[in-house]
Amino acid sequence: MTQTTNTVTIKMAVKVNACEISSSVEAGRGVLTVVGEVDLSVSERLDSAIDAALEACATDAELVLDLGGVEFLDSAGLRSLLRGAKAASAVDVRYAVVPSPAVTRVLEMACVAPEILGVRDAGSATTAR
Amino acid sequence: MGPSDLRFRHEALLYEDADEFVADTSRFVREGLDAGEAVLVAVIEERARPLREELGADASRVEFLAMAEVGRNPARIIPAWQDWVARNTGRGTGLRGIGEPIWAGRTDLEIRECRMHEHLLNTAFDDGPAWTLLCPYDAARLPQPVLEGVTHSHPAVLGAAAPARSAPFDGNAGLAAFAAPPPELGPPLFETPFGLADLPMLRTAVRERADLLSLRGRRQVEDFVLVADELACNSVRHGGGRGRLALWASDGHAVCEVRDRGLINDPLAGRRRPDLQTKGGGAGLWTANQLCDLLLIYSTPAAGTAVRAHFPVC
Repeated sequence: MTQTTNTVTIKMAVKVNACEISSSVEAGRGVLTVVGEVDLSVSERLDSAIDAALEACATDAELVLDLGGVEFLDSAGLRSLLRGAKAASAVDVRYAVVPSPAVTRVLEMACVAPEILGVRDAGSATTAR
Repeated sequence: MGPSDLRFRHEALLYEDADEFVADTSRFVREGLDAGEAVLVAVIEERARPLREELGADASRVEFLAMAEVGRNPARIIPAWQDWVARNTGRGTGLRGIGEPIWAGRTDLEIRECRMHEHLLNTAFDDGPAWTLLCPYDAARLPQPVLEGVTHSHPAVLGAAAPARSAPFDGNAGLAAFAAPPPELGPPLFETPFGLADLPMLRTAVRERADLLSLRGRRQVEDFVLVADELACNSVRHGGGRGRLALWASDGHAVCEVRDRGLINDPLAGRRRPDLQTKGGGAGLWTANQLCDLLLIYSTPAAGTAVRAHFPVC
């Protein structure tokens, strides 16, 4: 019993910092939802998720990265977002990022123009359907 | 036009009082305006005000930059000059600026970084387009070692005579920018080794100490967490995969230091705008410089690297 309690505690501690990535594609249009903290230790996973979502998207469709739930992003995470933008343009998929305040802050600090990532107002990931 | 007009000219001006400052800088500005040059003056407001008054209507043809803001972290001054030079090289005229990074009242640590900045100006601009930068120094109020160092970082010194013990000019002194160890701060309030997998825990550890570090409000906490994360990321990516992080609360600043076995070769590291579209690094130190008042970098082949960030909490 004690052991079970310990396990739960550890899971909760990890959950505070975890990064959850989920994606859905409908009619060739993809939405990739990222929740939690995006740093160097998850940037490879994010790269793969973006690549997989792009593959599932139809040409001329769009991929929306819903980052409204991202509580932390660093320059390694930002690098993944920029890499995704490049990859999307190579396969003719429109790329759009819905940022959280943490994402916007890092863009500002790294002098990345929001247009490069197709930054949209929060909320448009769901309302644009 | 002699050969010296075709390259970057970095001159110091030692002035004895405010009147001399105004007389000499206004003459320098007017020479530029008369020649149709672009002129930027980056000084503290206490100096800008009398200069503007002396220039009268001409002041509107001069761009002013508040040095207390742009130079609060001396590492942000070179990018500001680079932006201005880039904006104005197309106009086909000469360019001249006045930059006073060191004023009476700067802390010893700020002065240390400012002196390095003066050397790094040569590193940053010697191979670039021609322009002239005049750096005024308050000879009456600045510490003697600062005045003695002026000739070391500036090929030409105007105004009052430089102190007798002055060092000769060395245009390459900026290459030794990271040779000085950071000052002793005493026992840290937190210290831990880390690797890639520890980055999330590292951020949690920093957040948990927000009160001890006098960080106020979510924005301030998360900005400092970002600084700590970026420095730690650099150790993971460039410093041998792991490092050691330490935190202090010190004199109006939350201080974060990361040490690793890596070596920083580029004396302008942290002063170059990052290019995240390519593989190049530099975003971490750049970001830390944007958020901090000081970023002390110590890096030698024997000692490895220590980067210490002073984040303002006032």
